[in-house]
Amino acid sequence: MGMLIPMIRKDLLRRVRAPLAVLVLLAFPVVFSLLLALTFGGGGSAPRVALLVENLDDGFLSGFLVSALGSEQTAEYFDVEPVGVEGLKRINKGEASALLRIPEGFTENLLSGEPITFELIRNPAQGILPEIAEQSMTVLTDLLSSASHVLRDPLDRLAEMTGGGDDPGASAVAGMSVEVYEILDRSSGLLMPPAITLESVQLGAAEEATDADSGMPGLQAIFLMVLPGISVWALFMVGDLGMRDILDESVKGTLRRQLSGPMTPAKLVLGKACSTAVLAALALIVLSLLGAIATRGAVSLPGFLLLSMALIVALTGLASVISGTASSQRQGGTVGAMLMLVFGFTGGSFIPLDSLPAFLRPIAPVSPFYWGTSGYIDLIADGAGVKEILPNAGILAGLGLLLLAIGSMLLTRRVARGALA
Amino acid sequence: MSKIWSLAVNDLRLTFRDRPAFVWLLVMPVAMMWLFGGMGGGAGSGPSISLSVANHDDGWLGAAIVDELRDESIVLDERTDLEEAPVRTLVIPEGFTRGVLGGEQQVLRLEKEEGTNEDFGLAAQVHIVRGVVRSLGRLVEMGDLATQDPAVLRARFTELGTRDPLVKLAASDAGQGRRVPQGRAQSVPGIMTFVVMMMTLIYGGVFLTVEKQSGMLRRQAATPLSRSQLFCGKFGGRLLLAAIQLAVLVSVGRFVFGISWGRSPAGLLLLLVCYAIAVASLSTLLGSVARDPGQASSIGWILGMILAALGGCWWPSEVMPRWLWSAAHLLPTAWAMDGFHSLISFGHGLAEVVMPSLALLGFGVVFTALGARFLQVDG
Repeated sequence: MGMLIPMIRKDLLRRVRAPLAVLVLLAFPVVFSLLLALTFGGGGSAPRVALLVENLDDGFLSGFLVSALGSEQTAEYFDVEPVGVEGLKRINKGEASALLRIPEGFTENLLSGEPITFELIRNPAQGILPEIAEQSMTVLTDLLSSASHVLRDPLDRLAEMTGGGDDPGASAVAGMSVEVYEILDRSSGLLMPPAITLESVQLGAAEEATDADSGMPGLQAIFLMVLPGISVWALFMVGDLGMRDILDESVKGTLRRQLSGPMTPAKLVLGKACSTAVLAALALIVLSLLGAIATRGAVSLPGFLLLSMALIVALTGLASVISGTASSQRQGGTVGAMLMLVFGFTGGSFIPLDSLPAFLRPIAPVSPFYWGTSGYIDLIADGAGVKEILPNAGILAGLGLLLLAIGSMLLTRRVARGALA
Repeated sequence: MSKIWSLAVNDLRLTFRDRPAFVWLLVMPVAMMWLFGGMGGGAGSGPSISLSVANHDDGWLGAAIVDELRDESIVLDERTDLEEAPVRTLVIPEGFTRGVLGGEQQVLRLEKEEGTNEDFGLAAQVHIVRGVVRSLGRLVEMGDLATQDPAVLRARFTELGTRDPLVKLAASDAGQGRRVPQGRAQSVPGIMTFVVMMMTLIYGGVFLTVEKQSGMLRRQAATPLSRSQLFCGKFGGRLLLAAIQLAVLVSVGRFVFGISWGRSPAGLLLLLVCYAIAVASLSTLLGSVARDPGQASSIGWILGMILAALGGCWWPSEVMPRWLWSAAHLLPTAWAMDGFHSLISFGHGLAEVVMPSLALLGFGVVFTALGARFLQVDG
C-alpha cells in the first residue's frame, strides 16, 4: 500500500506533463455533441426543401399554382424558387433538392379535364429532402385531381368562356368564384374542417407524445441525447490510454528500472490499474461538470455515483485485458482502437440503438458501452434512481472485476517473465 | 527514387506484418460499410412499409378507407386484436362512417411503437394522408350523403375510385447516374472516405511516433538518405496504405454492394489518387507533430471523426445548415464527398471531378509542407 500512492502520483504527474492525449479525448464528447447539435438541433426547424419550379405553361392556373407554392404556409417547409430553362442545369449540378416542371398545357388540360403529368427531377446526391419533395408533390397531385373532379362543372364553363388558357376576365372569374363557393359551402361538412383527420402517436414512452408536440429537438436536447454515449466512449479510451502506459514504459525502459527497486510485478500492475482508475475518475468529473451545466436539472447523485464507479471498474478491466494480450505498443493501440470502435457502435455510443439493423440490437448488451450509455441516459432523461440503475452498475462492476482479474494476471505474468521489462 | 520506394514498401510491410493491423485496415472498413448501408435501407428498391389496421367501424366507409390504402408499397395487415399490434397501427374508430356522413369530424389514429423506424413511420403517414385526401374528394363529388342508401354510396365510392387520376407525378433523378440500392449511395462512399481517413491517420500517425520513440527513425536517418528522401519515404508508405484500402473498398463496393462508381473510370481514378495524397500527407503531418503514440492515436481519432462528420460522410449533407456545409469545404472530406456524389449519384464525367481533385491536391501540398517542416527524427 505504501508504494501505491507514489506510483499513482508519479503516473498522474507524467500525464500532467504531457496532457494533450487526455485533453483531446475529453474535448471530443463536447465538440462532437456540439457538432451534432448544430447539425440537427437547427433552432427548432427542420431543413427546408430547396424546390425549383419551372412553369412551362402560360395559362393563369399555373400562375396561381406557382403563387400557392411560394406562399407563407409552404415557406415553412419549402424554399421555392421559380426558374427558367437554367433549372435543369442547376439541378444537375445539385444546387437544389428537386425541380418541379409544370407541363405545357396545364391550364388548358385542367379546365378541360384532360390528364396532366407533372415532372419532378430529384437531386440524387440528397437522400431525405428530395423524398419529402416527391411525397408532398404527390399529395398536391391528389388534391388537384380531386379538385378537378369536384369543380368539373365550373371548370367546364370556364373552359368554354376562355377557349382554353386565355384570361377569362373579371366577371367570368367572379361568376365562377360564386359557383365554387356554393360547391364548397355544400361540402363544408366534409371539408371545413376536414371530416377525416389523422393523429400520429408514439406509444411506449413515459407519456404518449404526438408528433405535433415533439417537433425538431433543440440544441440542448440533442446535446444531452448524444453526450452520454460519446462520453462513455471517451472514458473507455482514457482507460485504454492509461493502462497502455505500461507498454509505453516497457519501450522507454522505465519499467525495467522500476522493477530493479523494491517492486514486484503484481504491485506494478496494481499501481498501473489504480492510476488508470484515478485518471478515468478525474476525466469523468470533468465530463460530469459539463453535463451538469447542460442538464441544469436534478440527476440522482447516488445513482450517478454508483454507475460511475462501476463504469470505472469496467473500463479499467477492459483496458488491462487489451494491454495484457497485446504483444507490442503498436498492437495494443490497434486492438484497443478496434475494440472501442466496435463496442461503441454496437453499444449505442455513436448511433441510437433504434437505428441499428434489427439483428444487431440483441447483441448490444454484449458491449459494456451499452450498459454505461443506457444507464446515463436513464439518469438524465428518465430521472432514474439507484434502484433503476442497479442492473447496469451490477453488470459493469461484475464484468470489470472479471476482466481486471484476467488482465492483471496476464500483465503480471508477462512482467515477471521479463517479456515487458 | 528507388530509395524512397524501398522505404515506403518497408513501412507497408511492417504495417501488414501486424495481424490486427490487417483486420483494422481492411476488414473493419468493409464491416462498417455493410453496417451503415444496412441502416440506410439496404439493397434493392425501397422496402415495403408495414402497416396494421384495426378497423372498429361497422360502416362501409372504414372498409373503403382500408381498400384505399392497399398499394404495392405497403404491407397491409388487418386485425382486430390491438394487444398484439406490431410496429405501427392505423386505428379506425367505432362509428367512423356514421360520424363522417353526419358531419362530425373523425380522427384516425396512427399508433407507432417505440423504437420503430421513423422514416417508415413518416412514409406510412403520407400514404394515409393521400388516401384520406382522395377519399374526401370522392365524398364531396358524391353530393348529399345523408339521403342516399349506404349500399349505393359504397358502390359509387368504389366506382369513382376506379378512374385513372387526372393529375400525376413522374419522378426521376437528375444526371445520368444509375440509382443504387437505397442508403448505400450515401453510406458506401461516405464510409470509405471516413475509414480510409481515420485508419490511415491513426495507424500511419501512430506508427511514425513509435518509430521516433524507438529510435528506428534515427537509425533510418543515419543511412545514406537525405531528409527529404526520408520524409518522402514515410509519406510514400502512407500513400500506399491509403491506396490499398481504397482499392479494396472500391472493389467491395462494386462487387459486393452493387455500387456503380459512375461512368468515368478516369474521373474515379483521379479523385481516388488525390484523396489518397491528401490523407497520406495529413497522416504524415500528424506523425511528425505528435510526440508519442497516445497523442497520435487520440488526435487521429478526434480528427478523423470530426472530418467525417463535417464532411458529410455520416449523413446526407442536406440535413446540415447551409452555413455549416459551406464551412465544411475547408476540409478535405467535404471535397471528396462532392467528387463521389458527382460520379456516383449524377453520373458525371472527368471534367466535373477536376475541381474536387484539385482541392484535395491542394490540401496534400499544404499538409506535406507542414509535415516536412515539423518532422524530427527523435521523439
